[in-house]
Amino acid sequence: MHEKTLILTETPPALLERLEPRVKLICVAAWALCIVTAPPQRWPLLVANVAILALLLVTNARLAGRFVRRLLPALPAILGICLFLPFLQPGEPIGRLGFLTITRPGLDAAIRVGSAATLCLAAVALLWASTRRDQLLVGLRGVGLPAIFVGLLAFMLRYLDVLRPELHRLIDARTARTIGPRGPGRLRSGAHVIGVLFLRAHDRAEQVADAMAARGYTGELRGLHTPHFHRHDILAGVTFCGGVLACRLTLGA
Amino acid sequence: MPPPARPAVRVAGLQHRYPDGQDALGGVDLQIEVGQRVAIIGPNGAGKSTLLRHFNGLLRPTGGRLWILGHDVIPANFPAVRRLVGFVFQDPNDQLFSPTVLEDVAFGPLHLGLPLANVAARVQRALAQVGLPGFEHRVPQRLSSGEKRLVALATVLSYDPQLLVLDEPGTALDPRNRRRLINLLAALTTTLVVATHDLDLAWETCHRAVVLSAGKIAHDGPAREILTDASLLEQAGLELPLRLQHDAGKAAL
Amino acid sequence: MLLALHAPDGLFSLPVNLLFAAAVVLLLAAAVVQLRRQQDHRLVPVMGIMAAFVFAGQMVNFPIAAGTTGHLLGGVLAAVLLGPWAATLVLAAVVFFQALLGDGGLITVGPNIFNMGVTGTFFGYYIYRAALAGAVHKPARVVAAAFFAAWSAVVLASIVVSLQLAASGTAALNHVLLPLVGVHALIGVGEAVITAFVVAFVLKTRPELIYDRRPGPEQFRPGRATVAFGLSAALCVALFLSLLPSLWDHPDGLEFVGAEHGFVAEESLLADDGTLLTLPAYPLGVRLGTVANRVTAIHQYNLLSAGVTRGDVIERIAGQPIITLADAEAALEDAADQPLQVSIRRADQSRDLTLPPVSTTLPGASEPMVALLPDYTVPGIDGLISTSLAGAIGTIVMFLASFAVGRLLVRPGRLARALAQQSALPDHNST
Repeated sequence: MHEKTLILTETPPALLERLEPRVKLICVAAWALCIVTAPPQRWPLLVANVAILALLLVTNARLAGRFVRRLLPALPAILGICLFLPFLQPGEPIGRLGFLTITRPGLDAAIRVGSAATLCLAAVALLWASTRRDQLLVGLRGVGLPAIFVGLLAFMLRYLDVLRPELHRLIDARTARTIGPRGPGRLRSGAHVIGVLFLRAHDRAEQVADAMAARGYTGELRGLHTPHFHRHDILAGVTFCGGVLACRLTLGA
Repeated sequence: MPPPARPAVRVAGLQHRYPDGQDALGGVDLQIEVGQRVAIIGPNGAGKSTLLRHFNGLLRPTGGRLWILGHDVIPANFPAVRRLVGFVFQDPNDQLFSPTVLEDVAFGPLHLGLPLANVAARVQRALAQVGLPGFEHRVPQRLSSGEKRLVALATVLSYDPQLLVLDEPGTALDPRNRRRLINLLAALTTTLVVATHDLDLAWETCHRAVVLSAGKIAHDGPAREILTDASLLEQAGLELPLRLQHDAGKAAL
Repeated sequence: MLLALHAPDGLFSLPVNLLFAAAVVLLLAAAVVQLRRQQDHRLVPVMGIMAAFVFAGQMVNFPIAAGTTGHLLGGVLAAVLLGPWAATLVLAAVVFFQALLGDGGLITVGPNIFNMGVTGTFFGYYIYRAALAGAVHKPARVVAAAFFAAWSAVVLASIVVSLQLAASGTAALNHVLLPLVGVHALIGVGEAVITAFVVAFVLKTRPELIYDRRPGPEQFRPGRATVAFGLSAALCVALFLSLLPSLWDHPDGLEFVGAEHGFVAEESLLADDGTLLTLPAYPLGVRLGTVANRVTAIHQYNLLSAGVTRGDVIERIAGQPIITLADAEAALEDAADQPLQVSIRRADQSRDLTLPPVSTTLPGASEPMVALLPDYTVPGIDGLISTSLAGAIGTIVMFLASFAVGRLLVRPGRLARALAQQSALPDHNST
């Protein structure tokens, strides 16, 4: 109701951006569940999931840039873990690397984890690319996360952008003052940075709490948005979840 | 029309002592009538911010009393007092804590119990008043510092307080934004209390000046008188406003 | 590198994910209830900004050695500063958000929050409290307690991750436990040092910001803390140590010693195809093995000396030529309850010995000595998890029993007073 009277951004939003955030969250959760519970080595299912992803990207080409920016930084961590997995399962050995043995079950685990993790990561990246931060918070509240937790998240997001520059300033100051070999002194000055950051964060927290009290806050956060489903939201959500579930059940049997 | 019976601010023997034993305010007596525009000036550490924070109950006095528009500033009256007082903090980042400008400007009306139906209109009006129409969906962390200050002002204007209190409003503003702020303040009709060490800003916006020094009121009188008295200002650890220094220099030539 | 702690999707099986997600939800609900009771309306903004602080603090890099950098996890630090409940919510928010950023999976967010948040903010906090034992006004003690708690939390987290991996079938426990725990025992030192430094810093500048230093109605109750500490420490030890011997097929220490000395019967060692590798020959008082294709005494049972010493080559037993260990086994079985004629070769000299009759296995015993320490297992569960679970349960039972007895013998008042005297608590205005 309120949003209709206020001006929105000019460029026409991509399809996914128009969806209600709760629906998107539920779809991502359902998809992730289907991906993670897929039995190993069902290649048709994997192909189907990748195809779904490709379809979503193609119909929302505007989001491609943001999607890639969200996807790429998290990939190395997944790859790192998958590199260790082939060595960690006992079973039929395939090859050797020094004193470590690669086993078939280990390799299977690595492939399974790698594909599942990457697909879920892609789903989340798409979510981020298509949802404004405040909308995401509203959606999280809407799917049942307690208000105190969503409020916490909101403040965290807001003040991360304040604390990060402060942190960089502190680190630069530390670098400017540090000459000489690395050692325990570095640990101490790094801890010093964290300590100062904590004090500053705490002081700022007191100020923000004061600012909220000054405008009438007594402990209950009141929101402006009353999220509601449109028909196309429900339709899109049901179609997507249905499709993903169908793939999982038929191709993953 | 007879002057209103209740003064906007009445302070009697206000004392405040910090937890570590230091005296911040050592007995302040002050009365501000409705419609007056008062500059509280003094050097750093004089107690300006401390004094102002008593006006809406953010700090409790350790001695003495104060009334805002007839309301004794005690915890039982905090909701009423905070509805009447709009406090603009020194750091706008402390005041802009919501995910969007819309939510920040709406925070006051929402949490002070104003009718929900009017909130959107109030937000629009407040943003227009500070010269930032259409900023509803902007994200606070991405605003420039000048814009942040103006939005911070809008967050208190949106609930039409009868007393506006500003703590060092001109800090870190570039000349253009400073000019904007000064013009804005000059156009307001509410009772105004500005704590500042920017004496030029005080000259342009206020007609009464109160000099605070070491937790006590040193001088109280018309702004034109106090701000032109070089020796008085020097005693209080301040200097003449720049505009007057320039004139004095010219006269000396 | 705390790689495994940010587990991506698929690393754990669905049951494991759901189990830990449920545990996390329960704890978070408890935290929300506890915090609401405090009726502090400043909580949401303060916790939010603290979450931002933890997030930012995790980005500070500490160069360790040769190009690697370490980072602070911050669970115990957050708990020392904010208390366990607020810290749990804060860390949960941080990890949750990191999952949304792709650092850690979506479905695995439950175990991730548990490993990176709860172990530190909850278990770590109570370890800290117990290590403090009331001495919250002694800065050195606070720092030391924080140090120990931070290290323990990291090690505990790595143990939990290993168990999660094993229970999920992603990796075998004996492949992953020692490397993970070993590495994290080292990483834990870094975490502990940083935590200690930060706590010391805050103690020096704003000591009232340490959670347990707040003035307030909550008084220290040493009894609970001791239980928490003892339990946590005992569990960690039980879990860790109970797994160690099982990994290498070493029998329990006592049994091992017993076997070496000859008062606990041991088994013969068999090769994969069933041939004997060693044979306990109690009548001879030695363990037999094959050295250079000859049946030789490879170990002497101290308690059973019968004249055969280590290094002797066995040539005949009761007239039978001995070529393989199987021959020795057969000959020994046939010769029960009679004086034994044994031909040995020692230092290139053949000797004949007559050994007194011995019953089948051990002197004075008709069958293997009492199983002093049977392998306790949980009925119905197989394998390593069974033994370690049994160990953990046993530890808990022992601890509760001893604590109960202690409480019965020592009246609570006396205990509290004794501990309070020791740490000089009642004074609030120490600056």
